[in-house]
Amino acid sequence: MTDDALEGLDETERIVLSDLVNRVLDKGVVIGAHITISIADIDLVQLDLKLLISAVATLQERQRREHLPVRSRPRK
Amino acid sequence: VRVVTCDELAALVSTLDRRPERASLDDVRAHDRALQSIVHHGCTAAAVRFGQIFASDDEMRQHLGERGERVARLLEEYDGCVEMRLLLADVTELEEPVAPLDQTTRPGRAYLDRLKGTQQRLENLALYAALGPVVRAERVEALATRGVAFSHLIRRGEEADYRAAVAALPALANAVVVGPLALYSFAEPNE
Repeated sequence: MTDDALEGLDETERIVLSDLVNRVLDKGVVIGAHITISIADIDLVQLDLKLLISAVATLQERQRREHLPVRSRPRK
Repeated sequence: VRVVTCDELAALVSTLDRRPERASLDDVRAHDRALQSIVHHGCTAAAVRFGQIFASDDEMRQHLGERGERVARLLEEYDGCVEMRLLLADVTELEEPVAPLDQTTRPGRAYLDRLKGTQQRLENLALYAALGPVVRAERVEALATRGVAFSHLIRRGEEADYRAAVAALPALANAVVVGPLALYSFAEPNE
């Protein structure tokens, strides 16, 4: 998150805010629409990485369930 | 915010004048507040992921209809339950052990190994047994701020018992309890 977002917050407020952003953006039912909104005043450098990992894991799990081939880069 | 029904489910939606490209932290807070308000009214609610936009109510109903059975089954299974979040700012057990330098390990492999190690250490942090039967299910994850968040599924009427169980554990003296919340971590299968 940006310094602005966290400025003046104590340790408790920081972790509560971090948890809020984490669960609202990364938890819950995905109904099917594309999620295209970016968050304007939150620097998601760390969170993006976590979301990316989560998304890759979710994709692999869905591919496994649906018996779709998982594409991987050919070994040299 | 208004209610749109779709078979046996009801969805909370709001109408936007135009498709936004960016959202603010206030929007994230508003999403959470809307969910909390229904929980406070006694409803069992599953959170939906922030930022899902549909062209019309009918399009939303169509998408919800395709996944509705699974969502309805989940709400039936967890009827009367809420989610509590227990946040710990400093968990020394998650600190990375100092590994000897290995020149043959590629950066990608080393990164994945670190992730695997962190996940294993997270799984070792279970509070389920210590808090007793008030906790019906537990999930744990690391936060970006190096803290840890436990998600606990409890019965709606047992919030006071849950808070008492947390207060009784000296190791959780600095823990922050948030809730009761809609089902966030338990809204999807554990993956």
